Amino acid sequence: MTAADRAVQRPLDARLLVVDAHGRMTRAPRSRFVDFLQPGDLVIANDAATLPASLHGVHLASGADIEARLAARFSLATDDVHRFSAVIFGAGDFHTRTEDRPLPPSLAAGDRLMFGPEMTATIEALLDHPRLVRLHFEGSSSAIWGGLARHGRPIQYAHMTTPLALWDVWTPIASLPAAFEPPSASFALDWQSLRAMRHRGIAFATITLAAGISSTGDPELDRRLPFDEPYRISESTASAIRRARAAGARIVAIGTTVVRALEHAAARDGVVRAGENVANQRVGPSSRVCIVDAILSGTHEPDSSHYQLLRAFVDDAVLGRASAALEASGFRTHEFGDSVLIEKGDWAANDEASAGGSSRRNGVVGHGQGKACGEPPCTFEVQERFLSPEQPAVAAELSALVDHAVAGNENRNAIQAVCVTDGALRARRVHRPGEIFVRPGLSERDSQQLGPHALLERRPRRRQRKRELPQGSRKICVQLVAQRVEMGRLAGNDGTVESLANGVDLCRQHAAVGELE
Amino acid sequence: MKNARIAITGGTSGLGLALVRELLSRGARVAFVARTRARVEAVARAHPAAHGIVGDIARKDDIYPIALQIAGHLGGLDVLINSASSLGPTPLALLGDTACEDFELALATNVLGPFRLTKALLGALAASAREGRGSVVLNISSDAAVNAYPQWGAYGASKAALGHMSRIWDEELAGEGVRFLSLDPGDMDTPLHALAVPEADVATLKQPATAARELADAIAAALPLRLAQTFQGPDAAAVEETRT
Repeated sequence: MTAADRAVQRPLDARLLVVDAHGRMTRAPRSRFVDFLQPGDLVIANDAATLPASLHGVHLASGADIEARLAARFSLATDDVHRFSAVIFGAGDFHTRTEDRPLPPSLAAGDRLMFGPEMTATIEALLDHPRLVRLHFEGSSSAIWGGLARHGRPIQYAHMTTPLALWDVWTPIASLPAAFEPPSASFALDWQSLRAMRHRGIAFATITLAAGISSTGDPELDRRLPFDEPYRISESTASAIRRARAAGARIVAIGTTVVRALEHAAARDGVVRAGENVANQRVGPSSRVCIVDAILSGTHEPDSSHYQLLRAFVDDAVLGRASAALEASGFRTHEFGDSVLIEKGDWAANDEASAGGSSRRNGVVGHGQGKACGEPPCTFEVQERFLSPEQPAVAAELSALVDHAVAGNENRNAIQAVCVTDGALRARRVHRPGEIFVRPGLSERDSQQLGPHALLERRPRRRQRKRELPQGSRKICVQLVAQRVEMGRLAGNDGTVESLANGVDLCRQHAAVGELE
Repeated sequence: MKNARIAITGGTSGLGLALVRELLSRGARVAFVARTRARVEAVARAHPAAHGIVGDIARKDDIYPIALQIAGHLGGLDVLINSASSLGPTPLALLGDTACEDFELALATNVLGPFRLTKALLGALAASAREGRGSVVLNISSDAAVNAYPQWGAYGASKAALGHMSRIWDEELAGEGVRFLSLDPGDMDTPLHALAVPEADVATLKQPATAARELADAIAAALPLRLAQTFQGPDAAAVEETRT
């Protein structure tokens, strides 16, 4: 397939190949993808905004120009921006393919890198590879955010004609800056499509997963991808999933990162709970996909790793026909390319106790094979909370680059089952001091969401409000009156009826004051 | 408004600074934006709980770096207050005497800047609404947006555009739970007003702190309504029934 080489998120001629649960295929303009969803579906996207993760600077010990590409992060905490794992490149820019970029100077722990007058970092450790390091940025977290904003650029791709700016890589729903490369399946979303979903009774929710770097151009490093990725699931999203599942509704993932987060969250007992965790598994042909029923994704070449993830959804024969159809129809690939919407095949939706399921998929048979969703997986330890770029999650000869945010990786065929991702190697490492980067328990925000809404609890009563509002606020209230139609439309549950009444009454009174005057 | 994540543009003087103080006093987590590094640092020193960001919302290239720092530092965003404003020509001038460049500056600061920043942060605002935290964009308007005051052409026309844009945003994003307010704080004793009407008797002008209190009340009144938007999917029908 041809690489899409222009940074247009939603080109007017973007196309969609729909593969339904029976393997039937339909081509359509991608702008129509909502038409292929069903009322009651719950659509879930990754709302991570993309960091300017490429930093050009100088290796102070040698004076050599380098580029550091931030590659993974240890948690989503807003003040946890001092430490990143990063891949260091030699001089040059995106015009050169990463495979052809010169190596950086010899790096050692303690070396300092300077990215700008007020932005420096120290190499804390080499992570079992001469180019993969753990960086520690100096200064306060605000200074680091400022430094990233001033000196960072989005990670660039050699197949693009012009350099990418942040506005090119932030999806329309981009929220928390956390991803290292864009969760590009969400490029297909716009506010019109969210509106269309709502009108058709299709629910929409988001998770945040810090999609890691997708490819380094270094075969040895690429075998260790994807790195562990922290993610967060809000209480509202977790409860939307519970409701959808209780109602027998489908869950549609926008992109591979959503599949990774939701399936990781559900791995223990089949239930997606709110909170923050670190996804460390791979999703491939022998993975049991428990939560997600359909996926909207970019198009992927058969030799790419994304393709491996799609094999968890659909029969190899069907996927082969889909690939042929994409090729024949001239679909474009990579970040800004066309899309596929794949419903989980009938065979994959059934319980996979049958041996036929695994043999058809000729993948590596994992421990999880044949387990029903909700049963405790054998070796999958979601409670492990650490980032381990130091080590591949599985033996190198089996590892594959399967579920990162964007296309662009190459030539991975072998794939591993979800349940095999942590073996003895991981169990040994987890106890090393300094490896626990994620605070246990719910994030601050999540814990707040468990209780009644703080703002609601603290709302002043109407009488207090009248006292507090000085006369000068008349203009404000007159405008609020004009907007009370919207306020009325938004009311609806017990918790807000009173606040709505307060708000409207308040404005009526003040509007009356206005008329009297 | 405890722990509400709020960003304020034009936060180092006048109404913007008063809003920083008011919202901090209500327990909000505040990030503010202004052009001049020295002033941002001075305000940040005086208010260590607030996060200062240097940037010019009138410059396209500054918008995403600003948005990155806001969403990154606050971990999302519940409330955006577009307070930074430009008068256009100073001293004020009749439209016929207004340089096109001055008119462009008023549009860039008062219309395009808020549009761009809102668009860049819309994902964060909508996420906040989905999570039931509520989400409000407050655009600071003026009576000059309604009345045809001679010599206020660039400012008045740009504020009128901002106000109308707010209403359209509000109409379009009600379903997402993002609420837009366009409010006129009144004539205040601020550097902007002094620039426009140097001879004004400051005793007759409203104190920015008073206006900030009123605006904060208006934001607080708009926030909890967003809770209705946490209902999605199967529950949506039930919500609809309650309304009718």
